[in-house]
Amino acid sequence: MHSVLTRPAEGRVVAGVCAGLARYLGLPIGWVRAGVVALTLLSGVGVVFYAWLWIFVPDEHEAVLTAGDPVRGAAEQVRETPVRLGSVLGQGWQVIFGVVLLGVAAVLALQLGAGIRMNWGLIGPVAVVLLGIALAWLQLDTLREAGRAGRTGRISSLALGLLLVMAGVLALAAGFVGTDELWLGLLVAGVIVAGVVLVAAPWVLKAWRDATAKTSALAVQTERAEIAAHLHDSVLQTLALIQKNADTPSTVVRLARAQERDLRQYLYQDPSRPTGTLTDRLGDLAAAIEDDHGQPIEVVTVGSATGPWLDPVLQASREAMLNGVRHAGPVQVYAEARPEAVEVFVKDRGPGFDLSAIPADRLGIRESVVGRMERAGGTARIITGDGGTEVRLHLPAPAENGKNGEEGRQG
Amino acid sequence: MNRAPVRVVIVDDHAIFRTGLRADLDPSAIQVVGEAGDVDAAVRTIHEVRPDVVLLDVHLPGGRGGGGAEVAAACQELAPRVRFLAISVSDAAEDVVAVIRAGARGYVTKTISGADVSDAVQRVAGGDAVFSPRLAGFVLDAFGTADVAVRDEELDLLSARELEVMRLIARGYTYKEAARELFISVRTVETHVSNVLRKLQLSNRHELTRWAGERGLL
Repeated sequence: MHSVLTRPAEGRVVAGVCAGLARYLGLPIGWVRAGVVALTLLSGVGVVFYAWLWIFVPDEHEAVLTAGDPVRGAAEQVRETPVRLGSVLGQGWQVIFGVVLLGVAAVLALQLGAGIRMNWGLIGPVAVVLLGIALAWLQLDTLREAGRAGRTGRISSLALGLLLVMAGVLALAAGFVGTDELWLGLLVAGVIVAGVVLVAAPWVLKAWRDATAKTSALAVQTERAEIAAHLHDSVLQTLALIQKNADTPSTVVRLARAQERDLRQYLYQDPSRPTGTLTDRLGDLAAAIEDDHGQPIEVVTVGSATGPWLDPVLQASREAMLNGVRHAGPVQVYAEARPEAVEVFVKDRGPGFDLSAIPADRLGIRESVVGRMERAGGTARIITGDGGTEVRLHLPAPAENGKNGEEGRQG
Repeated sequence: MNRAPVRVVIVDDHAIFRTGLRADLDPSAIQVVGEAGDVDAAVRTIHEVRPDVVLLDVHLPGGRGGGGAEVAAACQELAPRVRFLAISVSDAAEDVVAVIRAGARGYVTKTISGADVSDAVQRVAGGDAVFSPRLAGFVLDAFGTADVAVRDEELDLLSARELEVMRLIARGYTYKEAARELFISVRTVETHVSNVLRKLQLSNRHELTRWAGERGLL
């Protein structure tokens, strides 16, 4: 139930008057439309009624903007705007065209069937004026919502509408007065219009500038709203959690680290970059392990690679990272994707361990790292000593992938 | 360490961070002689006290909005007596590369430990470059990892040895560990790193431009 009568963005055919009314009154939209059409056929009052509502009932978006919560309004407007361009431009036209044809048919039917003499000199111009008005108003609605996109097309149809109205009015006037007087009248009208323009121009300009300023302020507000929403969802929640867990340093570190990662992604991630690359997948794996174990893992990647052929090296890397954070602490990961191969290095600064002393039943290193890489046609080497442990993984790219890899690097 | 302590100016817009960093630095080797919170104050302070090393945040208010890179550029005439070490929470490529190309001798992140940052400051004071794994990763990404034998300009290419050193640093090796791995002296590793830094600062190679353009730099 809507408490304010507005013209909705969706479900409109011409200007959304019927849709808005239906929503406001809680009636099926078909009834309202039928009613308006019936009123129109009855005496033409339906058209006047429609036009009146079109002028005075605000667009849904305008209403939202003037309503209480400006930040939410801004966000909503941005979200909703793209939906309705097509419907207004496409359907509105078809409907107006249909109405015009119907009108012509009705008039013709009246003339032929009932034998009523039609004053074509009157009906023609009036119809043209109405058409022009409809055209111009329709464009106003679209212009308002779309901003600069496709503006020239709309302005030219606006001008067309204006021309139609003027031509219609002139034709009407020509029916009443003689040619000489018409010219004189045109001249006078021109002078008056010029005077009005002279007076009104600064006001119009100012209004225009205000509107522009408002639009840009709105854009800033929208961005702020988005950032605020993100900060609220993530940072504030984390800060609350951190305060709750102030007694357990490991939890605090883990929370802070996870939040840092999230914020970093939000701030620095290029959204146009393709996802699912080696960088992303390795980063995701590292993030999950960080969350579970509370040890930082720094991932540096060079080059780019995608595809399921990376799975073995990623799984092996995961195992190596897990071993690192379990037994040694912070881990440094470096991955390099070249056209012919992918290499991943997982290094920690733990005490190291004796490779040969690993019992045969411990599958971690032997199976998940070395075995997995060898089955995939790659190699895994483990170098361990006082300075820590480094797992070196090397996986050649599949033969047909050489070219793709090359392209991946360019992209 | 019997040398005179390294004189340091800390430039960061967060007072809390400046205080924390000041407390973190090794007092026997490093003396903090000044602090600044924005671009203009930083340029003024650096010209006044002429420190050995400036710990420079990448994002700073004031000036023409250029942040740390603007400070480094404005103090160019003091080089090489005053050296810059960039320190930032950001690991965005454009931030890192901008400040390095403005003349910083290295780049470390704010999560670095007190001992590490003290070490980095002394290294920079001694004329060396300080590369974090991430910076090394950026360099490799920007210059390409393929070994190409012949190139027109010397600046346009990292030598095979420099590539190897960069890779090891990206893998988390210290200079010492990298030297051991490559059977060369630590001094040689430092020379390689300094050369890479010089190339990064001076190179106008096509690829670097394109790479930067892809990431919205320049």
